[in-house]
Amino acid sequence: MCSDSAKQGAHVAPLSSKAASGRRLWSRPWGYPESFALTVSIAAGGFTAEWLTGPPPLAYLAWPFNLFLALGLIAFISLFRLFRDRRAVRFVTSAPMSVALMVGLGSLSLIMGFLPQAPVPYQLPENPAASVRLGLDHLTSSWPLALLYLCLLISLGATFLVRFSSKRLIFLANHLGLWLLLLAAGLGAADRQREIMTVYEGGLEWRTQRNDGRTAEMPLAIRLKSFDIEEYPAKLAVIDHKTGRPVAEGGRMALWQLDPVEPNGRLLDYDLEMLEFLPGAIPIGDSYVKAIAGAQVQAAKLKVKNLKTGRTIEGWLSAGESFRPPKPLNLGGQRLLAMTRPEPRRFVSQVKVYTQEGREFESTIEVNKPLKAGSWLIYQRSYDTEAGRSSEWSGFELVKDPWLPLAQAGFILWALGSAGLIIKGRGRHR
Amino acid sequence: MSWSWHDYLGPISVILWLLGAYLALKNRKSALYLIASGTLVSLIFIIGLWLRLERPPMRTMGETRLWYSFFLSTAGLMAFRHWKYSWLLAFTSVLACIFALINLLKPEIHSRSLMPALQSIYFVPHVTMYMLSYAVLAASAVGSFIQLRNIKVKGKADKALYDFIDNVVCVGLGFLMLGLITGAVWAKEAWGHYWSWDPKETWALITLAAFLIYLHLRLSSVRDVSPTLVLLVPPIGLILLMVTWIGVSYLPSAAGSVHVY
Repeated sequence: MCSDSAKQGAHVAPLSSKAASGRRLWSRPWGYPESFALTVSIAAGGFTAEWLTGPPPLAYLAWPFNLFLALGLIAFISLFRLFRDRRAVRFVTSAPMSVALMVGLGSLSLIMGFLPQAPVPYQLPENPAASVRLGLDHLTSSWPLALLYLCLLISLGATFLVRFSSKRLIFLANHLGLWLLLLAAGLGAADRQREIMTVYEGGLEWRTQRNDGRTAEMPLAIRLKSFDIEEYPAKLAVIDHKTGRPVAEGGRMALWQLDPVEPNGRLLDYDLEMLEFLPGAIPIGDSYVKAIAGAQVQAAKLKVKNLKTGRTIEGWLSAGESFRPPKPLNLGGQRLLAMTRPEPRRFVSQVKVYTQEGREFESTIEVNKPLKAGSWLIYQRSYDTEAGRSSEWSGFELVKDPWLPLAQAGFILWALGSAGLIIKGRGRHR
Repeated sequence: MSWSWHDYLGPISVILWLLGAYLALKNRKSALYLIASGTLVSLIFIIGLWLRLERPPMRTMGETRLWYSFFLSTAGLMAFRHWKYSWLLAFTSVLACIFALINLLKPEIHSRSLMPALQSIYFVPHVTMYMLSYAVLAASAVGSFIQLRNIKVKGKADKALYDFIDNVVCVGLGFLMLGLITGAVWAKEAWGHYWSWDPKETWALITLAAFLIYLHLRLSSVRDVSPTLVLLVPPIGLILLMVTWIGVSYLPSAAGSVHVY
């Protein structure tokens, strides 16, 4: 992967201060000092532009202008291939330039890594503080990042073209893959759309809500047939009547996991046996029965033996929900056995989707399983957490990214290149 | 071949892999045959289960773990054939054992209380790749320290050690990038976009940049870049990596991160 590195090294100005003494900046051939000087200047220019004009108007970079920019960029980079013997081209595609750009972008990322960043799209507040004017709270959409990103696209793309050789497949896959991904992620940003839609059970919706309170109409409509939450079996805890707190053991809250397959167990000084388990139940008197439909809670019937006193009791437990009080089991001796709030296993929205072209189809939408409808992907986003399982609405996020195929191609190439690096390692020895 | 067969075939793989890992560390050639046999046994079970289920066994967490045990040991064998690093062979075999053991002891541990966002086929590879890269890149930092000492004490770098560090960084970077890619693809499926500048993502990018910088610095000759400076990059990278892995949760920027658990 680095066969011409030694050659390249011979032409490069040094990075170590000792070796650099006696050499003046900008004397040819350019190397590390010039690469870093250039990168710092570009970043400084970016911060100045940010201070003077505010964040770059990235929204203008929408289709088809980003396409023109991408094509212009490719044409520009192709010139590098044509003039690949020129010193300037060698400089742009050199290891020092790539190192300097990576240090520059890495430094901006470090700032982002420490300082919380404002959400995108960014709105500059009135009377911003100096750090805000410099863009430190919104670096992802700031001039310095945009300029260094553009430099990286040029340097990376030019390096790929100038050093193109069918013998260096791993180098090609890694550099082209990353370049395609950066192009799609950056230039495609203005074309990406994210919309939030709330649909009530039984209802039909085609409008989305934006942050500023306005609504937008989508080219598709969603009917929510039902929204369900499946829960994991809950855990049980012993509560102290006096403190109202769970009893701890060894510094941690003592819990017993309900498990339909393993009904016997022990919690603190109690032998527990689960006699019945109902994932969806409704209360009738002091007991619970299986729910057929409608609002329901998890319930379990337990047999509890106090190992100290030998006393055995039996009864139903439920964690309750907003509309149903919890049902603990009194263990005597100022103690209660209580069910903790069950954790969700799945959120499922049963939907029917209607597209503008007149197509309609039924499907389910879950976390991690978005639904594709034309050029949109529909994601499960939220529900009424107050109501829990009886939530009457489901929140969806609709995402459209026309540049996704390019990003996917980039990911595939990059992954192949990464696998190549693992298998081949450093390649030829120098 | 149903899951119950795993109670018999699983331990056979585990024993073969563990014995192989031990012998690999002792530099015995028989290690290769033992590990290859363990891998073959796991492959036979996967094919048997596939035929029985009439679908690829990739749906549940337990099923994906079967694949990762198999892939890990295969990757270890392939890497060994090329690089002859017996510690890498031992490492992948032990990791394959861990996944096989989880399947033996708690076949459906993830069916309990695994939040919906984590229930993804990318969960295991994403974490595996990162764990692999963390382990391998740690070795590069150790190598760098030894080399720095060589330069300081002996006044001369060890060429073979440079080759080792460079190779290890390449392998570690490969896994690091695959971890990032699987994470990005997963993010697209779970949250709608492959990159959202989540603090964990930002720090993973910083770590990646550090090791990429090392590789690109190594392209220049010793006269142009001070070797001490270059050799300091992997240890710095390891510190950044620790921040990514463990430290991010404690930073002010991490409020609202999807990676804090």
